[in-house]
Amino acid sequence: MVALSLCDRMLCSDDHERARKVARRLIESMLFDRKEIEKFDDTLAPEDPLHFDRQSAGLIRQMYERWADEAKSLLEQIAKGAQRFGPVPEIEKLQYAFGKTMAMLSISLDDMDAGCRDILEGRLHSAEEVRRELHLRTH
Amino acid sequence: MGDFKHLDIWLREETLDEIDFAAANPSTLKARLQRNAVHDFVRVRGGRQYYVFVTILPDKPAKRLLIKEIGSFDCEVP
Repeated sequence: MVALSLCDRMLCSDDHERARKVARRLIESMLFDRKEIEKFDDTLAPEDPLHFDRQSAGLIRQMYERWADEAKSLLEQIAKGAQRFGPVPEIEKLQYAFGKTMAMLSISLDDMDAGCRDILEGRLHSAEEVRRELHLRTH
Repeated sequence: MGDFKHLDIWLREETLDEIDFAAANPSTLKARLQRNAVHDFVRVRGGRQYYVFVTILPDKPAKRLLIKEIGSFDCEVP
């Protein structure tokens, strides 16, 4: 995000209303960037979701990783700044997008590849089988 | 099945309930992440936020959802 390099100084402004406005704008911009990555994903992905293209998946993953790094940094800066200039409710949207992205990134490229192969090779479990298994493990 | 084993037991149940919800409401699924459909949700428990991200392949002819992967992330409630 282009504006991220400016946010340190702007969020330190003594004009609290202005600082909150900047924080909101930075959040909007960060969420917009994430939407753009989704569009790249849609453009790069193979037509068949069971055809795993490691190269395009890897490129998209790098974009999400970079986004998550920047989002984390922005969340930390806004949380710190909010102690001076007051709460910015829009931060919840960015927190959700960040958490969701980190959950997605916990799925490795190998996991994605294996997920496709499991389906293609018929290694499937019904919901009932999974529930039964959980029941055996939990009781 | 292995993806569930990475989750706490209570979160496995929550995830299965969410998958049931998605199966009953397939129109809520959007094609994202390498053209797979995605369902994500968050839960708060014990001062932590748990995010779960499920990739799903709708199998329309068989009228079923195939779960490909389940990812998760947790952090302190801000």
